[in-house]
Amino acid sequence: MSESSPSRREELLAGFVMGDLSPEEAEEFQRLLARDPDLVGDSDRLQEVLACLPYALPEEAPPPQLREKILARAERPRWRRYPSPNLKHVAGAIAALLVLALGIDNYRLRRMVSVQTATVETGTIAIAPEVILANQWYGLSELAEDHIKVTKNPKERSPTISELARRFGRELNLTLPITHIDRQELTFVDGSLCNLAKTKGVRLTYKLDGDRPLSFYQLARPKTATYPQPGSSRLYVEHRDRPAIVLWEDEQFLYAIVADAPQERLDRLAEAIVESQEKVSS
Amino acid sequence: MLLKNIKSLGLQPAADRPAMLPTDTELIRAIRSGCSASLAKLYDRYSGLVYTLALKLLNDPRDAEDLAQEVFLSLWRRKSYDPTRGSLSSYLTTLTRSRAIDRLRQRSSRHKIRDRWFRDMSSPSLPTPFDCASMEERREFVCQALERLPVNQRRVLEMAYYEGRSQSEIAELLNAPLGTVKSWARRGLLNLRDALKEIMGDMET
Repeated sequence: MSESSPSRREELLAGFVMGDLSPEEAEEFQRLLARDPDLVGDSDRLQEVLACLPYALPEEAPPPQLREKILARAERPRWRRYPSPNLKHVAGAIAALLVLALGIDNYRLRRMVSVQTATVETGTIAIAPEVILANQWYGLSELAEDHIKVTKNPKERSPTISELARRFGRELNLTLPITHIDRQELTFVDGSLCNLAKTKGVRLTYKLDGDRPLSFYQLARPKTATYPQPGSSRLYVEHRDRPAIVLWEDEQFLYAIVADAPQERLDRLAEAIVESQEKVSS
Repeated sequence: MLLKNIKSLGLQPAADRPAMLPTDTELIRAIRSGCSASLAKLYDRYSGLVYTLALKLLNDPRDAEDLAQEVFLSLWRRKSYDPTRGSLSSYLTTLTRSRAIDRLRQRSSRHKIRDRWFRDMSSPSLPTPFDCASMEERREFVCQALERLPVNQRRVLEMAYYEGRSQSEIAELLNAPLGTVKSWARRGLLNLRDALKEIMGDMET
């Protein structure tokens, strides 16, 4: 079969590193990945080759003041970059939102819960971003970027609950059981609609342990078949230099928690969401 | 592959990089323990490369400066680079390019530029590719290797990498079928790898 030939392997490898695999090729690549563990190392090495390209550019010297600027900033305390959250809409508001949302459609929630109970049992799979990128799904990057942007600049006016409810109905065009993460270590900051990964949804932002920004996304499932389909498992995706993401789905939604935190931590939070949904539905 | 090949070459440190100079890995280790002088050293080593790429992609000196700052501060603050998983050089160029493309995308949502530069977290421990070569040698290797590529392959790689263009944009600009552009890009990358290997091999003999 052509797919196991060395030249086919090379072609898929190059396509993967170039990011131009078709959905069919991406599937083929994933199958290959499953039985050829050397593929990961080889793609890494080919990535190194690609990353050499800037050496061929005629060198431009950075402005002389940049060096001092960077060193001065490096010595400043880090967390000053994040302004204090504006805590106007807290738990009460979210509870109201939850009740409102539950009133809309309890049947869907029940189905969600049955799917997510299975999720807890099957646990979480840690996965490399490439495996998802091989599917040509760019939502991961969008999630990370959105999280960074929103939590860095919480300057937009927080919407009120009635505003949110009105907009949910009008803009999302689906009955949306909004859920939130009810944990002591989390402080709610804001909630708003978002448009990510080619689909609409709701983004809730929190502070983890009082200072680390965390975003929780509940998105309508993308219509394209190429987004990652974790099935009954959760996917934990750890990026270099980006916040980590835990991703899971049910029949209607794609969920994601994005924060600079270890897998275990994010996993516990994801479980808390599932548990709270179970409690509400019983 | 390239890395193993380079390792096997056993290149001696170049004349302009005395053996006493700390390696990238040593500097990274020092950065982790809060040594900003090591950050300064890495800046001196790589700021030209990072800034050049940022300027090439963003075409705006202020944006490029801002991005170079972001990249080096991120190295300092986030401790996300792991020397066992690839070279620092590749990490920095990959990060610069990825961030530059984020910025381009923010500038213009018309261009859907693929996000494909995240690195695998589970790759095996690797030696760094150009650790034994000076910056000048690295430049020469890559330039020579690129020169060996067929014109179309080289052009597609350059348009994709330096300009952040999607393959469909490139197809349109070159007035070529998308499938052909795709094949030029893939073939070009594989040929670049082989050419680099060969050039390093020539150096050895």
